[in-house]
Amino acid sequence: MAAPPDALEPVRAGLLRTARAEAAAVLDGARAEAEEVLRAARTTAEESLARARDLGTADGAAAARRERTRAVQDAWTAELAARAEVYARLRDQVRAGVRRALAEDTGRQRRLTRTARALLGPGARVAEAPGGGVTAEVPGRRADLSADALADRALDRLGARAETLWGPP
Amino acid sequence: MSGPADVEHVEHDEYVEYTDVRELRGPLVVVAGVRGVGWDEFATVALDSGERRHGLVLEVDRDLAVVQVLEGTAGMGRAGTRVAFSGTALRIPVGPGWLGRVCDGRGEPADGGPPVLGGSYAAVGGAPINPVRREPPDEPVLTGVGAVDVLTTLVRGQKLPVFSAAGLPHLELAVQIAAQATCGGEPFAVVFAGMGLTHADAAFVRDGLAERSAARDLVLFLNTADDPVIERLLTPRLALTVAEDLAFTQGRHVLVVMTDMTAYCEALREVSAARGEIPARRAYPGYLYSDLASLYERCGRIRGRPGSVTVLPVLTMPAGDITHPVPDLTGYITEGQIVLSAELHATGTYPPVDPLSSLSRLMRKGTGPDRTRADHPAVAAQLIAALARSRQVRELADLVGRQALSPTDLPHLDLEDGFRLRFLAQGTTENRPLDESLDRAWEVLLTLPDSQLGMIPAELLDAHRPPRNEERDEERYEVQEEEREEAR
Amino acid sequence: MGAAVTRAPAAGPAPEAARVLRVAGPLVEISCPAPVAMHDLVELGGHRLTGEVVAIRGDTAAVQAYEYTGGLAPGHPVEPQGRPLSVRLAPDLLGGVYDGLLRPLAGAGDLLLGTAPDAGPGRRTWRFTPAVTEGTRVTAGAVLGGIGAGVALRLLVPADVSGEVTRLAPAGEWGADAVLAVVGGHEVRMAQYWPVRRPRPVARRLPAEVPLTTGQRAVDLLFPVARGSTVAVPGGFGTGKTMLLQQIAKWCDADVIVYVGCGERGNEMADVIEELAELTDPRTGGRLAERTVTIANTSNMPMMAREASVYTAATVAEYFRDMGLDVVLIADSTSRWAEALREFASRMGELPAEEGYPAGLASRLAAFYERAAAARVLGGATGSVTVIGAVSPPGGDRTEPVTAHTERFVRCLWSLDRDLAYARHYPAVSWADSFSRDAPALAAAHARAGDGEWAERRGRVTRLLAEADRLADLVELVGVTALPPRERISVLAGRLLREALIQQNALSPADAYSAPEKTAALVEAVLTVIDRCAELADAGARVEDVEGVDFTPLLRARETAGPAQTAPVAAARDTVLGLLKGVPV
Repeated sequence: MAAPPDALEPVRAGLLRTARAEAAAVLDGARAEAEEVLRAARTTAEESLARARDLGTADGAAAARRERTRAVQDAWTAELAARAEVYARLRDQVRAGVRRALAEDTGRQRRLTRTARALLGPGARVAEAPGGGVTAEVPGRRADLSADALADRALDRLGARAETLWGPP
Repeated sequence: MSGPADVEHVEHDEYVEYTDVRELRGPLVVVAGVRGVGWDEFATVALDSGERRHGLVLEVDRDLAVVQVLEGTAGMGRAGTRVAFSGTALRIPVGPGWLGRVCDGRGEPADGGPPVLGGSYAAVGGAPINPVRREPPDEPVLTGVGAVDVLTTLVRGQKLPVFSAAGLPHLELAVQIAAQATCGGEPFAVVFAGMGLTHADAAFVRDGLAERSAARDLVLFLNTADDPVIERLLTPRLALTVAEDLAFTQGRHVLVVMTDMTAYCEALREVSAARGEIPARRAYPGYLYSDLASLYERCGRIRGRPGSVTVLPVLTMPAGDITHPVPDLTGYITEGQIVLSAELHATGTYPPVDPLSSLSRLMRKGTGPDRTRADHPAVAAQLIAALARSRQVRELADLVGRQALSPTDLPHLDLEDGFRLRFLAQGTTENRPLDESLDRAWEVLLTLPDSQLGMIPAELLDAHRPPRNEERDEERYEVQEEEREEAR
Repeated sequence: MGAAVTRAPAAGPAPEAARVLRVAGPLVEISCPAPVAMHDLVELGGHRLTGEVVAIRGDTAAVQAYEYTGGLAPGHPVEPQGRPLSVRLAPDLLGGVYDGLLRPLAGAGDLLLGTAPDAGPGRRTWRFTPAVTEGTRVTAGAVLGGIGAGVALRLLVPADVSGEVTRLAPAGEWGADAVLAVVGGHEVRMAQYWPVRRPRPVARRLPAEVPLTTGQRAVDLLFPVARGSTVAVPGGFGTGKTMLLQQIAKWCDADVIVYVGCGERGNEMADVIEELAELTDPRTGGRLAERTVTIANTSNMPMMAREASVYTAATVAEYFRDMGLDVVLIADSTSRWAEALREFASRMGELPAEEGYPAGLASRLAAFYERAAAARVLGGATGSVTVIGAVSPPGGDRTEPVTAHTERFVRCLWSLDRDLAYARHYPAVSWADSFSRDAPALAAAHARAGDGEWAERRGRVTRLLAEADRLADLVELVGVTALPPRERISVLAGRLLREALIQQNALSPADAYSAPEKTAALVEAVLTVIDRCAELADAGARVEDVEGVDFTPLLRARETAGPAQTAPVAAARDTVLGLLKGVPV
């Protein structure tokens, strides 16, 4: 696979910067909640343990362990949900960014038309895509250079760097 | 292709979608007019509805490409179906980001999280490990299951399948092993690939492995019975690709559990039938052996690298038939097998591991001093030999009665019960330390007289036999004499 | 594999160039405007994947690709090489590990990424000692000199060359690619090339009648094999096939071993490579690896290279045979090779015969085993290639095509038995289902060598084992105590033979290898004890008392005596005979 084009770098970096600021708020909320859940679980677990000691059985210890596992699991689920939300927002931002860029510069739209013809041949029927960019068609083949398709690919190329949004867990 | 690098820059004709669909058959779609598409490329299939599916190129012939659609072709028509080719074989991001995640059989998140991202990509087909760069496996993975740890020790880098049959608790055993396995404190992870699981089973797996998942030591891929069948061809490959990176790049010992491989093979058969290929045994394709090998052989260790990939495939033998192609070909590839027995299960024993037909070929190197315990190899060998004798003796006793048994046979008669109750039986969440398992094995063995424990070196026997008591020996001798008299 | 699958950069096509038309896994169809010949090599696509022409129809040809064809697309360039698949034969093969096309694996990386490992010229040199003088007239196969390696090698006049030796290198250290002689205008080097599908010629075939000592008692005693003969080893999984073959690779008294792991396990190959490198050859004092050429084509390596690997191995074996050496070629497993044939035939759309195998399976198997021979080589010496092929019958079904056909073409069959293996009786060679058509010739050879008793010993052991088996069925029905005394002694005899003689512990340094004299001593010891037991029974002793004697010294003798020791065996026999004296009559 070819290396990601470097000219996109500033665009990506900019998007990541804005997204990161927003992400912090979402994640902080989720993490605070998770912290609370964990605290509660620890208390429950300690209670179970205490009960177990009183009863002199291992059942309580196992219950406490299950309780703690469930809490850690719940916290992690909340964290993942928050990350998913952050990631979805990033996607929206990238899409909006690409749409904006295409709307601002009509030269880009022209170049996309040229690219579409290069891909499909000079006879290709080119149409503007809703939201910017173009789609083109010849019998048997189609090229999707719509703003959203371009944006999604740009996001894919971001790869693991999107993880900087939530940082090391 | 070069051009101004910008948003509209097109690197590859991955933006081109082919719309001339000629044929749809089973999981296959044949698309015409393609150019420069290579064999085994990854494809994206867009439906009229906007749905996106995924596929692999099975054949390219001039301008035709045959694509196998992982999600199946239901709802696809000749009109409105568009196929785009990625220019490479299917690759996925790899890295520690997979740890703690739960995904479907195609690697899409099933835990509410974002897509799994990774620092680098790896082809899911993998690449064969150079045989001269392989390090022969010689250290154990301890599972906390006594029967496995003592009798069929799992060795790091080994492939050891569980052969089971419908109705036996193989999933319980697989989950228990996945939940408990450790590598002596070294970095460890489990990648669990479920194929064709019922929702109840999938939930059981998630619950059973919750602790491991919470500790971020687990990656879970779950393809359920109502998920697309062809997707199952991908699931174990994803699991192994993620595992290889965790092992050989991140330095962990990784246990890959793959269940149920029979469901995987059925998916393979379905594709083969749709392609009109000449079938071999039981209508499975002739390349079933090589296909299974392309999965199982991804286990191992590599010289100079820290981690290991250990593979534990689980398969149900249709009608309990061990000569069925799936267990048979698996057995030819793997390094031993753990066989579950319906008879043992019927006695209410868990895990119902049949000690005589189970075997770990690499255990010799993975056990003993500095590996497990000095007495381990001798104890395991003696226990197997004694059980084999015990089974013969029982069969004989059933046929002709106790009186026809020779004096050396008699002590073996009750050994199998002792083995089952004292050694084999274990709770599904009981994590039994190796020392305890070995001590239980001794306890069973020491019901036999020394003369029947010829495979155990005398000094080991002396160390484990309770302090000698001449009178007691005398007594035992007399008992034997009496029995002999009776026999006459 | 990521790198390999990437589309190759499109090169500017010349109009006449051959092109890829179709790719279906290892089957690649190409257009070939210029003529190509069957079995010609071609290079496919920008990554120059190796393939071989296997069918020609009009101006298209079918190519069997030896590497992963991911990313190869219609329109990619093809370069016919104008020569058949050939391998480089040189002394440096010894001790090396190669893929199915004989490319060294040592130079490849941790992962085999689908590109050919680099076969750079070795820097190693060998001592060359001329055996002729310049001006001598020589014919094909004649010995030009000796090459001092761990194994005594020779420099030969190539098969298609004869004439006057116009130049000959002086004694000294030379590399494999140095010109050591010029014969009839041809340069002769240690390294030479040979097409793998063409058997190397010999002056004439000789009857196979010299025993190959494998060091495995079940084989040497019951189902012996002659040098230049053929053996098939069928066995289901878990019957210890690979273990037995590895033991033979380690301990048999051949000069050179060619070991092909064909579609088998990677860990096992790694293990055998490591062990050979560590073990000492008892005959030369060198490492066992130095007499071994290992071809490792594991089950996850490209399938069609399996097809080529057995021919590659046969060619290597013949190369060493031509120097007057005894070579053993071990192929594990020929079933995986046959599966590659089936896979490719299926993709070619050939009409299937039994179980999807191509109709030519039987003749292909026969042709492969025919590359075994004891022969007078072109240079006049005698040499041999013994072929031992493992067979992996699906479901243990001996009637399946590969097993059924193979049994017809081989002179010896060592059938591995699942029940024996489950009872941990190794090697699990079944005495009921195996055969050796070499046995009569070898009995004569043993007699000539002064051991006239060999055939008689073998006969007695075989008969006793068969008798014990027959009685075992009865015992299962009525119990041993219901048998008459003489029959009970036969049951005991069967047990003693199995445990003291036929079983062999591959993991015990003393027992892994059994020299002929130790095998003979064990046979003698066990038979003597059995005879004494029978005499006691006949004399009226209680069978229980005989059975109750501690036979442990005899059972342990194979492990207490070293690989070539006989005295401890005799001592164990005498101990047990002493104990038998104590049995009241």
